[in-house]
Amino acid sequence: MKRVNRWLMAPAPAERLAVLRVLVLGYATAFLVVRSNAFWTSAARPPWQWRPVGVLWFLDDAPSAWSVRILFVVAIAAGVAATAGWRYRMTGPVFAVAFLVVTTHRLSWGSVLHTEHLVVLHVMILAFSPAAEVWRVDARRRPSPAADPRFGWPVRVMAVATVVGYVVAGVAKVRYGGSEWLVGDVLRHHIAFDNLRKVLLGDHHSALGGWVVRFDAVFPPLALATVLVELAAPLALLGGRLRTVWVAAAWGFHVGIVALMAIAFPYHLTGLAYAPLFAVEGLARRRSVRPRRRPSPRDDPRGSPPAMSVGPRSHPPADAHRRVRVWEGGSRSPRRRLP
Amino acid sequence: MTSSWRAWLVVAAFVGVFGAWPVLAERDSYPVSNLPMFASPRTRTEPVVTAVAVAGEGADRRVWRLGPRRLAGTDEVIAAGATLRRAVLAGSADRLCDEIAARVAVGGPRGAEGIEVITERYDAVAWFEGDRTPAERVVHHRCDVPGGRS
Repeated sequence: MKRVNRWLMAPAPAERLAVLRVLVLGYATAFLVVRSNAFWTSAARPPWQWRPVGVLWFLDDAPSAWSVRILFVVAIAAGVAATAGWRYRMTGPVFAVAFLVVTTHRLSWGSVLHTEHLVVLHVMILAFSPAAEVWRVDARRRPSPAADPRFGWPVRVMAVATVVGYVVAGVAKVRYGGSEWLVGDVLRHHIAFDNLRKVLLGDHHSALGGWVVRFDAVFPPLALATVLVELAAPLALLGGRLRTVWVAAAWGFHVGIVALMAIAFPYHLTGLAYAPLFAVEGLARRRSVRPRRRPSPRDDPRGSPPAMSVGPRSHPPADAHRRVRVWEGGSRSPRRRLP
Repeated sequence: MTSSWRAWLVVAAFVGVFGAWPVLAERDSYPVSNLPMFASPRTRTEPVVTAVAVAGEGADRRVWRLGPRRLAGTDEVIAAGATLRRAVLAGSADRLCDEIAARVAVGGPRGAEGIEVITERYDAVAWFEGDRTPAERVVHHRCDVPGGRS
């Protein structure tokens, strides 16, 4: 229990939450913009199709199209502001609530798709966390605060949310499909049926999936691998190589879904779903360092510590952000500049 | 409340609300869901409710497959399929047919004279092996496209 508590409460640099804010809220805002046509038209669907879910369960009738469209515009505006960190304590929660409501509305027409479930959870966690202490447009010159548990545990809750999603999906397959799912033809039939349904409903289907369903021997190993990846998700919280291997497997699983079923989970395919499992601030640091000098292994032989490693090695040094700031200051030999 | 307690409370709430509860309650909603996609057993011959645009009869009969936007006013194929299935189950195929016909009259395909709301059943694996003979085809409702030649 102590080890888990140490993992949960390990200090993290403010930059990690800030990078996640930019990545996740930026993605969610871009998602609204890219899919704006779907959101806009769903506001005006025939009222008889209304089947409210989630936070809109209490609405017997569909809300008016104009109210949904106003909220949609508010969501995009708040999303841009929150991504930039502008007045984050207000814009963050406003964006989270607006994003939750507009995405819920789009799914309240009789069919719950599962591509936005994890996005909205990550958005909600970030919106109510101190994710704009650095990297915000309205306080560019503030000094970075020291690494602190308050920047760390929201990231770990995001990681837990990612892991829980996979485990729940794996449990559903074992529970509803049973052994037949693991060793039988269920996956093959799903892929065949899903592609045929797309043909009959006038949409694009996966030609590869249609070809592969001819070979029944392919599917038991694929099914077993699918359930193993989903149920093994908690391993990712251990960090290190286990995490990296699991993330690669999970990402490959989503690539497989696109290839065989033409179903895209963009949040997972872009890798953003797995970002909380890594010390993502390292990306930004490397990027800011690169123009000055290529770092050698002597400078930082272990690189950024894995975010989710259990044990004392997972704790970044308390002065980690200061080291980087010194390095960013233009020294050719950052270690010599440290006291 | 200390930071540690708050963190534990949030983690416990997340695991409880988004992990344990949807599994125990078998609830598929948003964002709380038991994520049942592709979990249930499927046979090779599941029915698909859809709608097609038609023109002519006998040897001259033409059939057009319609996309999700024509079928249900959405660009999401699964949502379109669910709308069609629900309409047929609720006995509203006539209303849905009229809505589709109105969209076809505006956006095509040109030459379509009528809309048929149907359930088709194929052997899905055999379909991709080249056997496209339906095991079953039920017409629930047929309506005219406004302005079509029927």
